[in-house]
Amino acid sequence: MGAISPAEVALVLFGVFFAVLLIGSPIMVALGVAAMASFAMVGTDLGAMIEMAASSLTSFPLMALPCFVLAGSLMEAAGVSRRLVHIAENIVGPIPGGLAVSTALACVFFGAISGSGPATTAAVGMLMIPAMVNRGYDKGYAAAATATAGGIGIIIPPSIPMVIYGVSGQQSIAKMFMGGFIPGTMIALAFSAAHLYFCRNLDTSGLQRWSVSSLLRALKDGIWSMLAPIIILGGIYAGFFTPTEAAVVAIFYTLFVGVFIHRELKFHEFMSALKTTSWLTGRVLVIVFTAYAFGRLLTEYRIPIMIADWILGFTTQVYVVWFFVVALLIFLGMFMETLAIILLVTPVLLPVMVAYGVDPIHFGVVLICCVAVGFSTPPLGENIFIASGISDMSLEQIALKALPFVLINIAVIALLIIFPDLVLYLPSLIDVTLQ
Amino acid sequence: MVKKFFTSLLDHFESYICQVLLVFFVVILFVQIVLRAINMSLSWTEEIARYAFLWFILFGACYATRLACLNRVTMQFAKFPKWVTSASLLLSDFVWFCFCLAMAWYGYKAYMDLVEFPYSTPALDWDLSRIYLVFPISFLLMAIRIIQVNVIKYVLKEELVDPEQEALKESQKTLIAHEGGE
Amino acid sequence: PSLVLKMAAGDPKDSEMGVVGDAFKKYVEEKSNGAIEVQTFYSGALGDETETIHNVRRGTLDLTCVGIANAVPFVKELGMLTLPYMFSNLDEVVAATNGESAKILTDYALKGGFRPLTWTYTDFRYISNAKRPITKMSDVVGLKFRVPQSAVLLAAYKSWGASPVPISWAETFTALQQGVVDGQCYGYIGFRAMKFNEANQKYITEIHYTYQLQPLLMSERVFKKLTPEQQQLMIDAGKAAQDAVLKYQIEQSSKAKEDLVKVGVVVSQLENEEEWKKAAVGKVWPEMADFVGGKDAINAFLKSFGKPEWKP
Ligand code: NA
Ligand code: NA
Repeated sequence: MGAISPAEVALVLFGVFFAVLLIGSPIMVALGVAAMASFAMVGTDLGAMIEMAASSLTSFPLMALPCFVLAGSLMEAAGVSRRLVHIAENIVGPIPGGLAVSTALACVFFGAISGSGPATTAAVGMLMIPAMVNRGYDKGYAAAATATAGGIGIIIPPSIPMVIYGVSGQQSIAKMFMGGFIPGTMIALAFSAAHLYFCRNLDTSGLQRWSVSSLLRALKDGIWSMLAPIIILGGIYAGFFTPTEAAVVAIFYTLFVGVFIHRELKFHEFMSALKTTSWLTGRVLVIVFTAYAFGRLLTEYRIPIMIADWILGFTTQVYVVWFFVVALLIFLGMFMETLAIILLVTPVLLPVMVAYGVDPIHFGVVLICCVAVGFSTPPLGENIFIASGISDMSLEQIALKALPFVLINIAVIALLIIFPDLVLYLPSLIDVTLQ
Repeated sequence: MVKKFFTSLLDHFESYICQVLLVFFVVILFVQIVLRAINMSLSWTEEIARYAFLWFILFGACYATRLACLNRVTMQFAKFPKWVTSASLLLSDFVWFCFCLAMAWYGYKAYMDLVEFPYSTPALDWDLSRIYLVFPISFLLMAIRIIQVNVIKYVLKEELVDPEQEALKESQKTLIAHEGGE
Repeated sequence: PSLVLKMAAGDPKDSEMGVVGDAFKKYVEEKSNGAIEVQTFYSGALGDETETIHNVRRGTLDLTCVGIANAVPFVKELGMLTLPYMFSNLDEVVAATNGESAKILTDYALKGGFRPLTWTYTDFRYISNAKRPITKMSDVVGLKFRVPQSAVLLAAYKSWGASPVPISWAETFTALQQGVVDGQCYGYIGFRAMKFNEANQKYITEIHYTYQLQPLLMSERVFKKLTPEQQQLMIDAGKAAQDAVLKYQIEQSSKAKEDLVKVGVVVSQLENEEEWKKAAVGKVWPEMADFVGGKDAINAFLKSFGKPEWKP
């Protein structure tokens, strides 16, 4: 009640958010304090924060997050990831740049079972970075190749960020998953082409020759690992379970393979996976409720519509808007955590883009591709951190070597924007309409 | 020895709760999928999993607070002297601390509201107020953890290990063990 | 405007809730000469229905329109409205949501801290599925149906030998589309608004076991703060909205049905609905009577709209 204008609410909301963020408070707190300040200003009882926490943190689709994180940790301990990487290595022959191409390929394979970028980087990087360095690749280049390709992990389904987008933007998670296939593959192909070019003069002597028998051996050894993506994604699209439940199935499948087939999963590794999953998901998901409160104020005061009208005053050209949106996302990706970005921008930008006639799934997939770039841009680049931990190279060295790939990634994003069908074709197939 | 055991238990209290809850809701969800496949769905599996999840997140956040690994933006401090950074971070933690106390207080009020006007959960017919107890408890605990972390940092002057690097080293060890074993 | 009222609704604007919201808004704004503004937020923009009821009760939200099942955990007696075959036709539903009956329901609701201003008529929850036309009870055996988390509805499906699966509203469309469940239950207009035909739902059966009512709830805390004139305006606006949605329901329901038949949805009738009724009433009523306030409360309500007493 009362006569506080939406512009005033927006001012307090964003003003307090940036102020609290800049003094160094956690993002969760900055969003929460900003929401509280705004609620207090408009005279809403702050108890509403509790109701919002209760309803946003009991959202069923969100449960996919801890499940995928746990599944990812277990896959490493169960030897699933290692076998996938070996298969990728064996597919690509001893050509200059072959190992780097294998890395991109391994990220696609691993991306099809993992929902997280850093997990993909860690799983692939731990094997491929030392392998590349042994074969004469520049250490920084090897680390950068893995860090950038690790982003594919969230574009190829399943994907935790896509689940978060689906929840916060009320979009079909299954469609988002479908939409990621082609873009993820395109990025992997573009990276591979770049590797072949950059590494064209690399010495290939001493590399094991390509042979059918060793590929078959890798495939045989990795058959249970290759089955994992088929079970996870096949199960979703065949209707055995929802995307959320797929993560649970992934956990039990990995446990089964790790304990009974590979016999590598140790009890203490299982316990440490539980522990890591707890803090990793606790710190991310607690942002969900303050972001939800923040987004609620945006909706209630129709602030995104105000922003859309304001932008529409400058241009009606959708590509101009896309340009600024991508620029903003890449910028945010430099210093913010992936899921925090999605939670923050989805309620603001999705209505704006829809007002410009953009399909929500198209926007969602482009958003995911943009935040995937953020994994390998400094100062906060989760994949670079991991790659640096593995390779013992400094962050700056890796970031510099990653730059060409970041640019290639952005070029692919531009293609996705210009040709929406690259994203929307596959999701349209699951729109089963009656004749 | 006994004392050490209890301090360690207290220090990892949330972690243990989280691990139990995580296993619990993962198993419940799996049971739900299996039961549905054999046409024996239970009405309460989803509900109990969702409440376990709520507790899991909030205690997980406390645990993350204890490990000092909540996501913050710190690049703005790059050009400032170290004392500015420390002072600002101290202030930011104070804001966070107040936020937690406020949430705990409103959580307690929401709990009391539910005691006065009960809500029985649709599938389990549980009294929702018990589920809501998690709000005052977890936010109070988080406030305590904020103080603990700052005491460790500024009074005891101990280095806080980055749990992410820790986890990475751990898996690298595992991997090397396996590779060597072949 | 000197007073702004915010109204939440779980369903989209092109549903019955949209009619209620718009009619209520129009009436209040016109009759108050613009002194009171009503802002409507559809499709769960202000949170899921349970959350909006919590906030209404608390007084931080003024109005919310919710499915009856979501109000039951707050006030168990409202669960009476969900008992299978409580109403056999629309006339009974209208009688039970006006006059003496409405007063009984309002008294129950006030104990929970909210006041129903309108009862939205959202049609019988017809059963749809992807597999086959349902005409007899043996047809539902082995089919999985998405139902809201309501013990009463769950029990009804079980009494027929079907497999009810409680799935949250947010995941319903995906679950249907991917075949996690085979069917669901919603009236024609809601079915059309949700585009369930795009989620494989090819067969609809007209079964009358439960009429979906969606009360428009006003926060009693907010209501008490209004002047007597404003309070009366709210009650009148609620009545106007209720009339509007009844008219809309009667007109649009057959239109929605036609639209759906046009895109290929097959509508069937039950061969013998008495059989279904006997199974559901015989099993569910005795089981749930205590939950919804006991035999006497049920009979008092039945009497208020002229139905015969229930003798278990
Ligand atoms: Na993935
Ligand atoms: Na970054």
